[in-house]
Amino acid sequence: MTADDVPPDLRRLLDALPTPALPPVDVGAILGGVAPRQANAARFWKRTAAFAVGLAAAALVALGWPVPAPTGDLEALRDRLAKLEATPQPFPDQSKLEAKLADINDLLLTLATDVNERDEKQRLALRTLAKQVTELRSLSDRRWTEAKSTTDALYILNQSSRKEQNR
Amino acid sequence: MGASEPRSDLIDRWRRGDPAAFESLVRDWEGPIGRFLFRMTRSAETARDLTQDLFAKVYTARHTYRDRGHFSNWIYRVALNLARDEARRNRRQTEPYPEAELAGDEPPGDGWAERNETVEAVAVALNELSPPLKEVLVLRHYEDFSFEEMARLLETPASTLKSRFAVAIRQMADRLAARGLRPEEEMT
Repeated sequence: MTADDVPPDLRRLLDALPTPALPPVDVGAILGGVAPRQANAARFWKRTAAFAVGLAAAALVALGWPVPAPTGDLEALRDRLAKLEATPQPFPDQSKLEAKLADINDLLLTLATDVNERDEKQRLALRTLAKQVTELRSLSDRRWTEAKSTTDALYILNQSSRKEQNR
Repeated sequence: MGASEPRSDLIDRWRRGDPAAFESLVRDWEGPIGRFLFRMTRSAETARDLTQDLFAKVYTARHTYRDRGHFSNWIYRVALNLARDEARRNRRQTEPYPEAELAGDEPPGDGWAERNETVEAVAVALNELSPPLKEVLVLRHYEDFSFEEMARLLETPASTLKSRFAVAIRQMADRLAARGLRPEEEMT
């Protein structure tokens, strides 16, 4: 047994958890359910595209612009819609997209909070450090002043002693 | 982990929409995946529904699958995402184990009630682990993933997963001890 394995005693307890027998997957339901859903999705997008084209044409007429005659592009679009019905696309699951967007939003907020907290900690650390540097500088200045005073006093004392000796 | 990697020709047929190939994949993997989803969700009903959803996704997403010899990694990733979505959607209370499941094939006898309590305590302790710790423990212990395989599945370094595993073990031991159950007490 290594550190990568569950200890034997805990392993026995985990293995003792029963797992209920689940019913088999209904493959027929999956195979039967896919085709109608894809056909519905294709019809939905075809209707949506036709509505959008009609709306655009109505807007052009309302603005006084001549409605463009069907061109190669529109024909290509029509062919594409026909192909869409033939090769159906999966219907987008709105609720899952919204759930994923909500997760991404949560993650961004969490990351932003983390960054803010780290910034605050760094600012606090820098302030503490600056304070410590200032204190050390004051201490250093005081010590220097004391040392200078002591040195001056010793020098004066030394000079006085020499003068006494020379008399 | 799970079933063995499916053959390339089976994968190709499934991707082309062959119903027999799809059913073969389903029968090979519904057991391991169903058990994994049950251990992650602690609900037989949820595991059954999620397993059905998973294979519906497997069928519709067959065009996007690229066979690099890691079908198991791919299907477990789908299962993991479903389990995570379910945990986010529904932070339900731990369901008590049905007594029929606790009894198993043995008739109730001496120590049966005590054993039920022990099983319940272990199940609750496992379910109380945070999702990242629970995932690592379930994948390592029950699904027999190596840390390198888990690293590919979870897109997390193996060293991080080993740390999580150690924390999960420690938390399980602590939680069981808090319930008066020490792992060294054997279930009789």
